[in-house]
Amino acid sequence: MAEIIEMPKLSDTMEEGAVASWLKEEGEFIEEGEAFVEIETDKATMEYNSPAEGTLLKILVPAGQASQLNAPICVVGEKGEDFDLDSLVKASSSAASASGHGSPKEDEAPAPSEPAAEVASSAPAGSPGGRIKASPLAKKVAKEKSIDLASVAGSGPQGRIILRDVEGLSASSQASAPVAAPAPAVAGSSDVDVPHSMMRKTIAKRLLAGKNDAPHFYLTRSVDMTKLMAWRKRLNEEAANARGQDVPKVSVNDLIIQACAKALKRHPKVNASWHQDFIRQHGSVDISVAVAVNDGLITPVVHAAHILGVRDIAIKTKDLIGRAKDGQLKPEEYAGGTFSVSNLGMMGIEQFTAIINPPQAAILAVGATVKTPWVAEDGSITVQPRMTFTMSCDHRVIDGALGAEFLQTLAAYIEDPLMMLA
Amino acid sequence: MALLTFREALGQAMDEEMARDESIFLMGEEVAQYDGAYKVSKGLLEKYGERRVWDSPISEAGFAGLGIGAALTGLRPIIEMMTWNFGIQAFDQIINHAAKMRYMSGGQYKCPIVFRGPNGAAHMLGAQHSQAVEPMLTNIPGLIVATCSTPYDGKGLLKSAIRDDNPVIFLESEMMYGMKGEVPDDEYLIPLGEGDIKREGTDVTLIAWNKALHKAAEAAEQLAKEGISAEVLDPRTLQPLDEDLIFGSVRKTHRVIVVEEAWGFASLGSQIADRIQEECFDDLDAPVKKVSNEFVPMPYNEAQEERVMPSTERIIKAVNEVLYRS
Amino acid sequence: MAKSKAKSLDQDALVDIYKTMCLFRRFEERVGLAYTKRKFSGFCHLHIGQEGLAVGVQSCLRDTDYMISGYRSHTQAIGKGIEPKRVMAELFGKVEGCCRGKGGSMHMFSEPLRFLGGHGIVGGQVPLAVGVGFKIRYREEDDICVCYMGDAATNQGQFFEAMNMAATWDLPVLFIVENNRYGMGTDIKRTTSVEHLWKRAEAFDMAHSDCDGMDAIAVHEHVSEIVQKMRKDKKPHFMEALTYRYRGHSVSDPGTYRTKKEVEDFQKNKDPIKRLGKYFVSQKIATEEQLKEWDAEAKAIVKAAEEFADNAENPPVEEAFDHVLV
Repeated sequence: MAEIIEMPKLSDTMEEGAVASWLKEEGEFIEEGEAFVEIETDKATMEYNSPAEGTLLKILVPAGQASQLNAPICVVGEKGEDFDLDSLVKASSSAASASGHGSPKEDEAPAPSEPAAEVASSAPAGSPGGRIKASPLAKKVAKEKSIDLASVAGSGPQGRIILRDVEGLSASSQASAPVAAPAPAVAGSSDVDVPHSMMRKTIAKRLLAGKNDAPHFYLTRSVDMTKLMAWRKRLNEEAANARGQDVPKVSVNDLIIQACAKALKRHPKVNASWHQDFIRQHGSVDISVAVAVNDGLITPVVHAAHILGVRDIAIKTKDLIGRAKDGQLKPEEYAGGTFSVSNLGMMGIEQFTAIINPPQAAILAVGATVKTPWVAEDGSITVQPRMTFTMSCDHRVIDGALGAEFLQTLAAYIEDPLMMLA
Repeated sequence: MALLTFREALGQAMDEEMARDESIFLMGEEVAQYDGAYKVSKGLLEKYGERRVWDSPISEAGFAGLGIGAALTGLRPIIEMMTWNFGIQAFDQIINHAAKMRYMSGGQYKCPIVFRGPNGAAHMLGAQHSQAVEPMLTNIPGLIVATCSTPYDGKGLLKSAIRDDNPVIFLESEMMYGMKGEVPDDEYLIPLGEGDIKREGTDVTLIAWNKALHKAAEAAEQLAKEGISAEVLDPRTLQPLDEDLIFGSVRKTHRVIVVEEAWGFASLGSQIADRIQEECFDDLDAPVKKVSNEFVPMPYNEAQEERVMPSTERIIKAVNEVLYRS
Repeated sequence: MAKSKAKSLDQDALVDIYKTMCLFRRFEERVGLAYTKRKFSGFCHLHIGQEGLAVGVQSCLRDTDYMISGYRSHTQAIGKGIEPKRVMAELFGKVEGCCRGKGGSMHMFSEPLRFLGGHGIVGGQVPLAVGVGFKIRYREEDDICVCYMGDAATNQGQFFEAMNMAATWDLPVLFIVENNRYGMGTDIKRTTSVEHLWKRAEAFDMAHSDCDGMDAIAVHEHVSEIVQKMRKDKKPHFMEALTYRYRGHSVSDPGTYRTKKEVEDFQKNKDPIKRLGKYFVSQKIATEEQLKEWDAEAKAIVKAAEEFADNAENPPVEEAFDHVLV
């Protein structure tokens, strides 16, 4: 059986190594414990004694080249043996992550045997490089929902992914999941340990990473909704009177989406995302709208919202939300947003903060419109319908002033929708 | 509606058919003067006379062959095997002759004959009297194999079997002859080849027939208390199987247990599992499981016998496994 | 040759017997040749040497009588009325064969001609024959069923079961044992407790007899009497016919279990065709030239049959799926 020999960790601080020279050539026999290669570590060049016995079938890292720790450097096996390099590499990388690597002398690890129970309870079924075990039905459902099984942890035997592991998931919930799903049911007064659903695991993983990666800061302000509400009233009266014509009703959220879209167009630095070497300013304003669905959440995207009228947006959101609840969205319909709007106002939440949906740079958390006593600049007090929103910003992309300017524009558009035409 | 025992319902089926068609005769061990070893043929001698109701010698191969010869030349015999354990003596006639006549003659001959009798382990009868023939006989092209789990099904199916122009193996159960069930007063037929959902469910399908169906039904009842909704499906005809009904149920529940009081190696349960994996692969959330007799000859001792045969406990355990409940 | 007995047949009938024997002989020779030419394959059991019995029995029957046989039955099938070309085509597996190519050498059938098949399981046809006898009794007809079997079939359990039922219930079956002395390659003396197989019938208190199966006229006279008796008393009869096959058990049999001299003795001194031919010449019923002419006629029929079979179509492959069930 051919096997891979990997870049060894020959010093405790070594993070990568380089092959200084090969002491054996391809085709030569290597005895176990025999020095066969010289490795340059961060500290020294050292001989490496073979952890395996066999003929050196293939050198993968030529002399002078560096490679990561545990990356394959050569293949040994029976002389003349046929081997499939890809599957060997896969097997070796999964073994590497499963067992870890100690000092060279301890490196004669036994063949990787999968710790079944552990896989079932903790790791995704597609443990690095390994075959993904999933029931045929789970596979079919995952395909329909464009769920990547590699990131799903199976709760069946030997970590098999079964229906219940994919049932509540969707590709977007896998990708974004900006808010938490309903808490697990607790029966009676005794404690109940509800195993993590895959959705819960994904939310935990992604939001933790998102929050850690993107340094959040929050900008909150409130706006007078009087004119926006009046405009909405007019639009919907018109819709009600439009006999025979299909004129949609417009929601507050639709109006806010439009206001955001227009504001984003004016502030392209907010309609942006963080990348390793650059910040990308997106040409199109594509707004992800958080929609609660049965047992989860999905964020369909209103693409090119900046060029749409509010009725177009209403038609679009109505369609998307309807199909989202039926699980009928196509993958492209919930992928690729540049900015998110999450609205809990209809549930009485006055103010909240949301976690950014990476790689986007900001999310707007929209609260309820409440009648509020307001002290005007002249000191007079009026009662206004006011709405509070909070934008979470990725500080790597958006600085405080930039965010504040954007919200100023947004507030202006909401307080006087005619300004959107300016 | 009348409340009839299984034996009465089967007896009625033969009675009605014999009254309808003069070419039908009944032959078997003890079927005439003794009224049948299990009293299924009670009263038929009295009603139809010695010309049509025959006590045979203890010669299963002989009178099975006699029936086939008569069927080939225009009669419609019902051949009773006192039990299918003895019917094994007649396998050469059933397999090499009844099942082959139409085929080898290029479609010239037909062989309208019913071989009927109790099948499967009863209670403490020991290994020789506890055979299950359905895995063997469903494996023979040219035979129809039917079975029944209720007096209603038994009567309607047996009448169809008698009217069919093919050799039909009809499997009953010693343990069920006394079981009572509603049987309509008016004549009815249950077509061969049509299964029946005995209980609707959504979480798992239990496929069972004959006596084992009642164990499956009992398991379903217990599971319901735990919030598990089990569908119970009786194929009724085992060859040919009502595959559409089975696949439809699997596509609904995604999990299947086949319960058979037969040995599971290359069994009917194996066949059902095979067809399901072939046709419903993408609908399965768990492997198809079989609950069959343990692979030993049937023991005599009561507790041992119970251990070897499918039990509600074993069925529920299998259900828990396919539902990934621990 | 029992000259006096031949008087019961008119001259045309006698000539017919001779011609039919020639046909059977030439047919089987041609079949053997075709087999070696690989025109067909599988098992092939030839009847050469035993023609006198087949022709003699057939000459006593009427069309409505039934016949059933074992696997050495090409000639009996032709005797019962299936055209030689249909039998040949069946041997070649062709769609124009009497069973559309589904039966082959061992399984010739004709439903309209009441030939219920050659059967491949030694003794398996005997209970079927009893079933036909049962049907005749059930319908109160006066036909009979001729059941041919080889000597070795009398050692099968099913034979005893069937004989018992036929005798107990008075079923009009004429059991004819073609005793050619060898059950495949085993001399029956080494396997059978009685020297005379007719003694088997004594166990069932069944009428029985024996005759020289190598003498067509003797067979005719003997069987005529039996058949007449059976049409009246409706009881079974068991007849042992002493015959001899010149060829091996099957085409592939080297025949090492018997001496060449034994075979030659039968061919030279007891051959049914030669004997009847000599008788014809001596009685001036026919000249040597006429005999040759008749033989040539037989050859021509067989040649035409082979040509027919050669040119016949194979059945559509998909027809393999037909005729499994009605």
